[in-house]
Amino acid sequence: MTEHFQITLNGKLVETDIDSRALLIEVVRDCGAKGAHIGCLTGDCGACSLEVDGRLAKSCLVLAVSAAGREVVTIEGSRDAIARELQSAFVACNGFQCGYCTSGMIMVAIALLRANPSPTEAEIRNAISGNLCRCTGYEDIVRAIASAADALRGRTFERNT
Amino acid sequence: MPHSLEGSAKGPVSGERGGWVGKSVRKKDAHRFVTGAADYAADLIRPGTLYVSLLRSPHPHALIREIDIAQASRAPGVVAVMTGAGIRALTRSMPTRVPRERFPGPTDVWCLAVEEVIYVGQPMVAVVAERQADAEAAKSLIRIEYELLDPVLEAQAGAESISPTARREWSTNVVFQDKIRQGDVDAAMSGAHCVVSGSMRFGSGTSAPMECRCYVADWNARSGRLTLEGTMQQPHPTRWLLSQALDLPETSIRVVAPSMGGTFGLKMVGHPEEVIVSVLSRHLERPVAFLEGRDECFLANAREQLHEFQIGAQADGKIIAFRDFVRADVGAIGAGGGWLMAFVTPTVFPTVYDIPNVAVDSQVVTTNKPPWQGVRGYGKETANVVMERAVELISAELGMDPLEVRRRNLVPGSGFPHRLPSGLNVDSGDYEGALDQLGGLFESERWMARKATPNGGRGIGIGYAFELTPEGASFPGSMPSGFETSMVTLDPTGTVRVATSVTSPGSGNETGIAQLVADVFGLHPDRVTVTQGDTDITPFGGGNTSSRSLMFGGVASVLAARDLRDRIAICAATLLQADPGKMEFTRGKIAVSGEPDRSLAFEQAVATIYTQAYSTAKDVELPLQVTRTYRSGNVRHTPDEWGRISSYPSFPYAVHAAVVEVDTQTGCVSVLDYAAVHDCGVVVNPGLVEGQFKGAVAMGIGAALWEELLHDIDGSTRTTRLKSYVLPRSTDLPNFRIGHRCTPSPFNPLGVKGAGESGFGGAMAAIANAIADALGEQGRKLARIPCKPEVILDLLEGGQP
Ligand code: FES
Ligand code: FES
Repeated sequence: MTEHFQITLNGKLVETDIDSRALLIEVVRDCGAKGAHIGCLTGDCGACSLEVDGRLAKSCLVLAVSAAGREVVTIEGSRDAIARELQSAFVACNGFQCGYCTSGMIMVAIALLRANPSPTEAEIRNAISGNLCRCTGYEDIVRAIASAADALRGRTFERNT
Repeated sequence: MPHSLEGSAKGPVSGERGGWVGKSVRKKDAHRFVTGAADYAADLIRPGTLYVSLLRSPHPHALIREIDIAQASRAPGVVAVMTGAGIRALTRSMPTRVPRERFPGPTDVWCLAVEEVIYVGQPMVAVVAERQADAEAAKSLIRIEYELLDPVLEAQAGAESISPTARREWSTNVVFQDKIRQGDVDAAMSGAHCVVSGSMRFGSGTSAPMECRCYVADWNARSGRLTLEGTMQQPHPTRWLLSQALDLPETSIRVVAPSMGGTFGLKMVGHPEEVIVSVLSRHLERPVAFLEGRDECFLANAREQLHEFQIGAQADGKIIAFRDFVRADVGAIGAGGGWLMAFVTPTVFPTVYDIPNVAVDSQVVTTNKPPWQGVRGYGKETANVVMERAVELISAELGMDPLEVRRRNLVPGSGFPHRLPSGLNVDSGDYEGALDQLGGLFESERWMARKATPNGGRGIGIGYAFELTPEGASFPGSMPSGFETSMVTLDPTGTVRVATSVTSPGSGNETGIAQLVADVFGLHPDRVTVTQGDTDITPFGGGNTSSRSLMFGGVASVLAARDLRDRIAICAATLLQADPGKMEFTRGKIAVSGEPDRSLAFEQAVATIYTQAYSTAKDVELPLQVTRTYRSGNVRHTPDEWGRISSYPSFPYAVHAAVVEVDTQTGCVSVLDYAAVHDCGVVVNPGLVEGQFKGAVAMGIGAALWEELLHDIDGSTRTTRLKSYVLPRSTDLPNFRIGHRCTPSPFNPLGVKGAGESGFGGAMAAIANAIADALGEQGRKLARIPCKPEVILDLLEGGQP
C-alpha cells in the first residue's frame, strides 16, 4: 500500500508516495539524506539517529507515516555552530575510523551539547551509550565531544567578555 | 629509535627524511565522513534497482525434496523467484579460495543450495522484487519439502568415525589435522619440577561491523559487462570468483568497493550473495541489490575452539615444555576462507616465549553450524589466551610472580629472527623492553594496594598478557598467495596518483600510503591521491586482510615512487646542470644536495618531461607511471628441514595490563583500568595506528566478557540482534593508556609490521587473567571464554564451568 507523504527534510519540503510499511530511516534515505545510516533496524545501534521536530530520535523505530508533516533534520542539515564544532573535533581527535556510526554520534552529541554545554566525561559516555561504534573503542569519540564543548564554551566566553 | 627508511631496498633515500612518515596526518577526506557525504555501498543503490531477499534453510542438514514457488512468484511486486536448480542452470559452482584438493571430499559450493542444505541460514531461494518489503513478504509463500538428515552440531562427536557426516558425500568431518613438534615434550614434562594442565573453551564470536554487507550488481546487456559494487575488502579475488561462477572473462567484470563501514574480516571474498546478485542482474537485465539484515549478519560464525594444554617448568621458573591440543568447530565449509583461522591458531605457539619443547596437535572439524567468516584475531587470539593462561597457572604452581616468570622466558632481544615450532620466522622484537615500558604506564602498586584493602579490594583482579600477532598472511595456493601491487603516476601538473591493490576497511591506510609516497617526492600528502577498490583502475592484489595494507601496499607504492623519482631526477639534473645522484626532493622543490639555491619546483621538472621528451628529457624513461609489486622477504613456501613453511612475514606484539572488578553476587565484570605497550615496527601515522589498536582492545574486551554467538540445539543462531549479541558500549569501557615501541622489521624495506589486528588477542587474555586473579583459588579453574556472568557464578559456586 502506498501513501502520500510530506515532511520537511533538512529545511526543504519533500512530497512523495511511500510504502505505508516504510520506516522513517528508509524514507529519509530514499529522499537523498544518505548520511543517516542503517545498522540494525531494531533500535540498538543509533546509526539512524536524527532529529524530528527538534527532538533526537532513532529513526528506525519510527514509522514514516507517523512523522508526516514534521520537521526532520539529519547530519546533512546540521549546520549550526555546535554541529560545525563537533564535526571539526571529530576530525581533529580521530573520533571516527570507518565513519559509519559518525553521523549518529554527532546527532546525539548535538542534542547533548544543546542541553548541557559542559558535560562531564561520564555524561558524554552516557549520552552516546545508545550508539554503537565497532571501530574506535569510544575514547576518541568522547574526547572529540569534550573538546567541541570546550571550544564552544571558549567562544561563548569570548563573546560575553 | 632512529631507523633508515632505506632498509634493504636499494635507491637513494634523500627527501624521505624529516618528512610526513611518523606524523599523525589527518585522514584523507575526513570532512566527508563527519558531514554525511561519504558513500557507503547502500548509498549507491539507484532508483529502479531490484531487491533480493533470501529464504534461508531452517534445518541444519536436509535434502531438498521439492520447492514450490508458484504462489510467491505471483505475489505483489515480485519480479523473479530463483531456486538452486534455477541457479545451477545459470552459473557454475563457486571456487574456494583454498585449492579443492585439500579437502577430504567434494567442495562444490553453490550460491543457492542445490539438493542438500548444510546449515541453518544457508540461502535456498532468492526472491527478487521491486521493493525490499515485497521480496521479504513473498518468502512466506514458498513451500519446501525436506528430507531431514542427521546433523553434526558438536565437533567432538563429529570427529569420531561413527559420526554422521555434515556433508553427505564426505566420509569424515575432520577437514584437517596438524602436528607441530619441537624437542621432546614427553621427556621434558617428566623431568619438570612442576607440570600444570588446563583447558579453555572459546565460544563462537563474530565481527559485527556497524555496516552489514551490501552488494549491488548491474549487468549492462549492451556492453556485456557486469559491475558489482559493494562491501568487498578483496575486490580482485571477488572478480576472480565471479569470473568462474558466471563463466565470464575477467575483462567483462568490474568490482568496485566504496567506503566501508568496518569489516574486521567479515567482508572477505566468498559470500554466496556476491554471486546471487550478479547472476540475477545478468538474468533479469536490471540492477539487483542485496542488503544484509542484522540477523543475517549474525550468521557469520567463528572462533569456537577447545584447547587442552599442559605446561611444565623448572623450579627456577624456566618453562621447558608446552603441549596443546586444539579442536576447532568451523561449521559448514563455504567458499570463503574463514575456516583457515583454525589452521593459524596452532602456528602461533608458544608466542613470545622461548620454550625448547613444544607439541601442538590440531583438528579442524566441519559441522552443520554456519560457516566461519574472517574475524579480527584470525585464530591468533585464542593461541595467545591459552598461552597466557598457561603461564599464569604455572606461575601459581611455582609460587612465583607471573611477571617474573614471563621475564625469565621471553625470547631475548638478541634472539631474532626467531623460529617458532610451526616454522614461522619471527622478525624482531623487544619483549622485555616492552614489559619495562608497561611498568611506567600502569600503576600496578596503586592497584595492588587497593586489592589489599579489606573492603575496597573485593573482587578486584589484575591481569597481564603478552600477545604475538603474526600478520601479512601469504598462504600458498590461495588466491592470491600474498603480494600487493601499486601503480604510481605523475600527471603533467605534478599531481601524484597512487592506484593500489590494497583496500581500506575504514582504517585510513590510504592516508598512510599518501604520507609514504609524499615523502619520496618531498611533497605534501594532499598532493597525492590514492585510489583503491576498483578492479578497472587498481592493479591485482589481495585487498585488505591480515593487516597487510602498509607492509605490502605501502612498500609497493614506495618502490614505484622511488623509480619515478629517479626518472625525474635525471631531468632535474639536466635543468640544474648537476649530477642526478645529487638531487634532493624536499618541500615541493628539487635541489642540488648541499646547494639549496640551485633548485627548481617539482612540477617544473615534471612538466619539462611531458613537453620536452625529445630534448631536455630525452634520457628520461617514459611513461611517468610505474607499477611495482611487493613480495615479502620473510615468507617461505618451500618446506624447511622440519617440513614446515612460513606464511606470515610480520610479527607485531604487545603487552597488556588490565584491572577488573568482579561482582561476586551477580558475576558481572567491570573494567576499571587498562594500559598496553604495542610494537608494530616503524609507524607511519601514529594517530591512526593508535586508533586501530584501541579499537582492537575494545573488541578484545567485548570478546572476553560479553560477545558470544549462541546456537540452539537445532543449529539455528539464537543471537540474532545486537540485544542478544552484546557489543561493548561507551559506558562499558575505560580509557586506555597506550605506549609504543619500535623494533623495525629487518625484512621489510620500510621497517613496518602489520597494525590493526593486534590488541585484540592480548586484551582477551589480559581480561581473562584479571578475572582469574580476582577469583583467587577458584580463578585457576577458569576454562571458558567469554567470561559471562553465568560462567563466573559457576566458578564461584565451585561447579564445572
Ligand atoms: S538502525 Fe536504528 S538504531 Fe540501528
Ligand atoms: S567509526 Fe566505524 S563504527 Fe564507529
